[in-house]
Amino acid sequence: MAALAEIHAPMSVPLEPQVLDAELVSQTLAGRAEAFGTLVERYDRAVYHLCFRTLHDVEEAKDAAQEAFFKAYRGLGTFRPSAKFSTWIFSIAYHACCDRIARRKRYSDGPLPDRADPTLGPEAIAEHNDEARALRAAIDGLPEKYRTVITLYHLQGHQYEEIARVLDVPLGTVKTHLFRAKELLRRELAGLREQPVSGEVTEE
Amino acid sequence: MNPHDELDRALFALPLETPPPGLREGILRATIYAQPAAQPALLSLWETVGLGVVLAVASWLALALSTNKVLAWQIGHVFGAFGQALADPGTLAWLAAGAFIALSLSVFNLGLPGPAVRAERS
Repeated sequence: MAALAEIHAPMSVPLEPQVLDAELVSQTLAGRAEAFGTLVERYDRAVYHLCFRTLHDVEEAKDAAQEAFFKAYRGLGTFRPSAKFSTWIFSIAYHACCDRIARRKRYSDGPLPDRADPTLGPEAIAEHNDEARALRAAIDGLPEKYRTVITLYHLQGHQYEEIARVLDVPLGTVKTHLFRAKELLRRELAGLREQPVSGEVTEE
Repeated sequence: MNPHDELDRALFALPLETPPPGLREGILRATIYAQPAAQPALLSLWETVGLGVVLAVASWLALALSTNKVLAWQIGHVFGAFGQALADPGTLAWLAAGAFIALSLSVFNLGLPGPAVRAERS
């Protein structure tokens, strides 16, 4: 019960904020479990973001994020200190999402929805004259492969190699997908600025 | 100038999705606060009961032998008779014959089919 009470209390992990992820992994492996709590604090939101952008379902994204951290915790011994923890956890989360998408396809007869929320379609973009919302909706309208690469670009910045590692694809593929995704987004957003209502994003 | 500079700025300014309530608690509960799996019992129930019975009988016997001299004499007599019987050459011969037959049965192949041989991969 004391442990559960601790969960609800604000985390007071007595670790310096500058502690490197690899150091936190080492501390966790050495038996200092609260170090993993710090890693969860650092990455739970980003991992959830990736899962939600990939799965487009709040509950599934939550489950996938939890699954990713659970797998990471259990497999912490296999983490290479030379690797980046963020890349590792994103990779686990991405593959957990892929498994869920594959399961959905297996058990679903009809076509799969490619949007989480239909209210965030192009019409909604025009209604909401909000740049962030418009950009988010435009990302949602991208084909899945581009959407994932853009989401990881958003999370990992310009580190293309890390994105390639997460997706387990060649670096060139990442660059190509990212360029095309950006082009689609740019055109979509430019089109929105010119005309209030536009069609769905299409891949050329 | 990179044609995607403006888009990059907008992308990096985009806030992350707000996680649903309970996500962090759920993760922590499943990882660092997870209850360790129950250790398998060292002995099964029947083994524990059997061990208890043996210990109880041994304790009773030890107590009875120290307090009841008649019982002690009787038990001593039984063990003495058993020892004498073992010391008898006839009994020893029969025991040796039994041990030899048991060893022969366990060592020599009496023509019974052995375990199935695994098929070799071609």
